[in-house]
Amino acid sequence: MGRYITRRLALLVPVLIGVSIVTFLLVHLLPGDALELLIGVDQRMTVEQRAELRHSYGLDAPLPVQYLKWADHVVHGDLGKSLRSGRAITDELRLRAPVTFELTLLAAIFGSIPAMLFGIIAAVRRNSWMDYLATLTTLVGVSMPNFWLATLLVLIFSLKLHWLPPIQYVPFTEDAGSNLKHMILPAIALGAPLATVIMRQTRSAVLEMLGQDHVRVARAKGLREAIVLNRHVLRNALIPIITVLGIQIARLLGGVFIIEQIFALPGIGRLTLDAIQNRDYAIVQGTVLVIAVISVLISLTVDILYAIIDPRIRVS
Amino acid sequence: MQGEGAVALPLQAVPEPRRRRAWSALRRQKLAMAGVVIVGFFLVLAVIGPKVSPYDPLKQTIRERFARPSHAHWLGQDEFGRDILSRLLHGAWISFEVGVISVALAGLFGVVLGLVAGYWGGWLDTSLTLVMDVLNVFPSLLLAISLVAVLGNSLRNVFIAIAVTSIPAFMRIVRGSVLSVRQTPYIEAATSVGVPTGRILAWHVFPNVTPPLIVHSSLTFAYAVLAEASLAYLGLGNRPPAPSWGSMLNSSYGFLETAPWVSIFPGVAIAITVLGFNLLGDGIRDALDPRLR
Repeated sequence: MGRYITRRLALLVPVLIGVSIVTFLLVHLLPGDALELLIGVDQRMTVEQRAELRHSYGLDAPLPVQYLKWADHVVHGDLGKSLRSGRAITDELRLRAPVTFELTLLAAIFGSIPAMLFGIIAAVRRNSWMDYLATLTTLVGVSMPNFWLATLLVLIFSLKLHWLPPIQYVPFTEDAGSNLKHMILPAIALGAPLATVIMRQTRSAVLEMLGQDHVRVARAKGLREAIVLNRHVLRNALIPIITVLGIQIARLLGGVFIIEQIFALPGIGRLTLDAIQNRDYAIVQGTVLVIAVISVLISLTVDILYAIIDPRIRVS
Repeated sequence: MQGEGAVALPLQAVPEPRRRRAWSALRRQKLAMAGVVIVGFFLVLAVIGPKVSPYDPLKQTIRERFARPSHAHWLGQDEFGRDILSRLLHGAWISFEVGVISVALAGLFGVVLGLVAGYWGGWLDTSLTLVMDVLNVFPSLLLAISLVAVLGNSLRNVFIAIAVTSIPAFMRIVRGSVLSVRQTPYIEAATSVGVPTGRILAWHVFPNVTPPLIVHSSLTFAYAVLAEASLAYLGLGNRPPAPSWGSMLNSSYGFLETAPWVSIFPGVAIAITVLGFNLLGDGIRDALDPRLR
């Protein structure tokens, strides 16, 4: 196990370097002056002033040198400063991260646990009305843009039925109950695509397991159905489900942008979009890097989890 | 005892052409046929939509703003009194354009890179795979958003952003198929009689890649429509007043309570189109999968 983890960690290094290069190039290689993109110069500056500024920010150095300098800062926990507010980007992120973390976590819970339950039911009661309902829901769910789902949820539960409060953000530390109430709809909207994939995956994994010989043997020797399901079906079916879950949770991070925008949640997604609107590319660079690194770490965790559940992975 | 029945098989085993066999397998699936119908309907609408649209999609009639669906305006009017049906029809063309161009771009690059990486292997394969792994780390919507943000707000940059985020998957699929045929005797035979590499790739390797490629193109088309709508919803890419489905949803959000039809119809259009391409892709996959027959 130790060897597997070491090898997996070693593989991480080139990917992380690659991620940092892509993030760096995103702003530096693109049309337009890096000076304008990164520092947002005043149009009234003279050519000399610009050159001086460029020099003082090290933007006249060759790209690889600039990259190494930037990477050195990043490794030491310095992502630069916002062009507008002048605040350190790491401080900005620290402020916004809890919102995004809570949203993603709730979405992951909403999107996986009920979905697995329904997936199991759909597989066990194959071709029943519950199975058809589950299939229909997944089909619609996969195709529905989650920002539209968000719109409909607000329209139905908040504006028409008045079950949930209108859009507003309440910090968890201020009023936990109210915070959760405000987070339900965003979490459902964000988690819906995940739920459809997990339900589908669970159904097919369980179906496949139900047809296996060892399950037939377990039934033949008279085990109760609950034990057969628990011990022989679900445990094995869990392996493919967890893989998908890992990929999909990383994908949730992509949905955060739209959902935070719709529900006016002050998280990292909102921060990025506001920064794009303000042409504050230093922040965009910082958030893109952080989100990419988080998604790398999620997939690492899933791979390790995977190896714990499935011994075959460790050996090969 | 079932083995005895199988003896009769050779009588009717005149091989049906593969394409026709796949088509008849596809026709047996109700959901896949629904996909075919939806996609066909969408394609027709996208092409003739702008010509048959009853009104000018940009024509504002402020006096009729937020008019409910009526006989004259089947789907109602939006916050500027523009006809929603006409805007949807013109928007279909934009979605179609985005789907076709970004799938073509991503497919082209993905196929070439996948063929090269899979066939030559070695350091080229290792480095290309690493680049794709790195691109894959970024959630695709995040990468698309930041690309459009930095490249600038235009429909062309939306094509590029969606294509770039779709290349890794195309490459992985092609590379996998190439690896599985590279060692086969017929490739070896072709190499040994001196067929040029380019020809081997085009005539002997590429045909093996087409079935998964068709499936993936359909699924990527669905993703492209969704991604364009998401970008437009965030105000990236096609700028108002252009009738992109995503931006229609964006501008209607503020009037959700008073005029829900303004946001419901574009949403339905996106969902049905995406559903159609997803169903079609899944259906073709099942039809081409010999194990499911």
